Amino acid sequence: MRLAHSDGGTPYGAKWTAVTRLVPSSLECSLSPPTLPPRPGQLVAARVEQIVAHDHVEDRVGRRARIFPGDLVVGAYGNRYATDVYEGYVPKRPQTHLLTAGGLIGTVASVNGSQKLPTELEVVAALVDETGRQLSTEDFALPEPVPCDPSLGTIVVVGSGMNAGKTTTVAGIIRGLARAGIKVGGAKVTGSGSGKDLWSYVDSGAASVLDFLDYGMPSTFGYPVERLIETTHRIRHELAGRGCEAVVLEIADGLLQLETRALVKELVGVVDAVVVATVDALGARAAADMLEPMGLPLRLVSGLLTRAPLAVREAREVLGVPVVSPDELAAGAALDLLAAVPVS
Amino acid sequence: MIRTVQAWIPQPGSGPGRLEDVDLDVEIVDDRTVAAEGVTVAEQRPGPLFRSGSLRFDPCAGGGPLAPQEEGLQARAFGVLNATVHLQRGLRTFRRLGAPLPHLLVKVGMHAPDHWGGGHYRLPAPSYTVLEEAEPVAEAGEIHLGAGSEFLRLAGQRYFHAPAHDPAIICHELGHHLCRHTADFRLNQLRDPAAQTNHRSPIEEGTADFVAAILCDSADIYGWHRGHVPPYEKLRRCLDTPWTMADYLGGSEKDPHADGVVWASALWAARSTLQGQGRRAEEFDAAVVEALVAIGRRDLDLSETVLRRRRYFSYSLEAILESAAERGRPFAEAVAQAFATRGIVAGVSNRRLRRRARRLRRETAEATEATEATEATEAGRAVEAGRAGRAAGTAWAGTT
Repeated sequence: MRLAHSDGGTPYGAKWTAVTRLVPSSLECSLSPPTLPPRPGQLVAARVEQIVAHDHVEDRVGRRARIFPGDLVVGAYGNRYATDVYEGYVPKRPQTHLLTAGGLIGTVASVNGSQKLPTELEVVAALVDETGRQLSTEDFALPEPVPCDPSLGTIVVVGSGMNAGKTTTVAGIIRGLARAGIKVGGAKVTGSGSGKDLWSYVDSGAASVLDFLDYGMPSTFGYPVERLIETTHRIRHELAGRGCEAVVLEIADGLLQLETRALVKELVGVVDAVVVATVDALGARAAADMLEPMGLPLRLVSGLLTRAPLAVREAREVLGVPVVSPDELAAGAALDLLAAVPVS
Repeated sequence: MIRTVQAWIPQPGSGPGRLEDVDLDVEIVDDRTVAAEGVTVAEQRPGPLFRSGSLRFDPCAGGGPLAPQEEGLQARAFGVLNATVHLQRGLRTFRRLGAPLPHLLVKVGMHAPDHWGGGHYRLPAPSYTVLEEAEPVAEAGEIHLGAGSEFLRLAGQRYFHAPAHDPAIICHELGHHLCRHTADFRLNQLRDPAAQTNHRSPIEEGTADFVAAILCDSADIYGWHRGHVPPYEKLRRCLDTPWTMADYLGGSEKDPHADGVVWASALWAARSTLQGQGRRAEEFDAAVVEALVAIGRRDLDLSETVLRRRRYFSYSLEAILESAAERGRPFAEAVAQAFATRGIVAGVSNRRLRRRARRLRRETAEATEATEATEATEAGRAVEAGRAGRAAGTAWAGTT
């Protein structure tokens, strides 16, 4: 069976998801029974068995493509850590789940009580090249960049948890810097495969965007921390090498997530400003308390918290840094993050 | 005391201009404030700027949030003195042209927490639609210049666009001070000094742009910080563009700057026409300033009818033509013609001018279309005739 990217959307064709975006359209690939045990990044084709939570996938360019029972989707095995949605792992058998609309495939281990059960899939084949070798997202990773630093600095956005407004905050910072005439790069260094965050950065004015997929990982949960640290440095160097004067990095999930915490610790001396996105003042205070002993420069607090004037007031009372909404960042406050003197 | 300072001297097509040493008669009031004849300029952000010694500060690429503290302070000091140079020069020009103005207070680095990158002219009012004032505003009016919000390129390098470094913004705001104390389009002189209005009409915004163009000697007044905007967009506010009343939008909800460009570009066209006829530009500038002064002395009635009339372009045009005639300047006809080309004639409201101009534009377009259609038909006939001729020729040739 041969697959062409243009097959997507036809009843018997495959829908290529966001995690396959680096597979060149010109690559001759086909389906073959898997010969290797499942591992993260392995590209597979799966039949949609039952639509439950996800009734769509995000295609290679970010379009929401409706899926139907019987459709073939091309995605990648991976793990997912999403407190508001699923905990999922690379499957041990063909009957499995769609973990993200971006095409991450794995078996759900726990579900947030507010969520529907995952859409069910059956993995039917592995994607192989013309020599019959099983393909993985690792095969399409960017080469190691020449180490270089963004001239105006690196800003890292971390959160108190999932859905704390991190991506909106990153978008606000990118917008503010781009509007000020600065060439800015945006990247999501950890998380689960999806195109929408990167598109949000692009829409906000980022000159260049990257994520962990560009370095071979369809999601980062379960990878060794050393790999995540290395990927973060590579992303930063690559964006700087592309001429980005400032780089904004988003780290997924909350600071209590094991890998996030381990990664953040390693960024001392690399980042010039840390921004915390949080839903409440308590989360902001806790984040500040965690960052301070690590020696990381917390410069401001943003995120969903800023929608609530009372929460903003509470946060200002317990923090020594500004509390700024994503809109205010976009309107110019982002420039303060790059200031040579500390924000006062 | 005459001191040597550095300032950007406008030069079309080269950012804020060329950096020059300028002799300025200036006194240091305190470590953030200077005073010169007719103007006091005060930096609002903390940090001493003027301690002792030289006042010859470097612009330090505009300073801004990325500059080291010392360079940031130098850039602010430069901004204060650069603004002083341009304001004093402008005030002297207006006095020479017949409009001495009251002492002007200028505050630099205003609304820094809001990352404001613009400038505005403020009169005391009970409230302000944008950017509230923390301190009372001087009755004679104040110019406020923001701290800046963006980086531009200058000679290939990054330059923080501090409004106090941009002669065009400074001179535009000075234009509002001129309008307030001459034509007084909103008749603030008849209002409670503490409750004046800051609402501006296109006639005032256009006049302020024209003032900026005169003082910067360039039609493309915002060519530096709006260089990315094409000249044919109103946002660029380039005066060397063929705007007519057909492009006028009108209405209180529309941006008065955009409609003001129609008036400003007509003024610039008239000035350029006279220059083309060998006259000195200053003759026309004097006629405009005298007209503004004359407007400020007539129809002193704070009624809606009078206020509306003062917004009409034709009202100011009549004053310019009268001024030209009274002073025996023989260029009224050329000026009237230049304005008529833009659809501005005497004695007609802005709305009627717009209606006329749009009708004329439509008729012209229709006539052009008809002409083109006729030409196309004639060309088609000629092609057919040619083909027929060639066919006949071939037939003829075939018979020989």
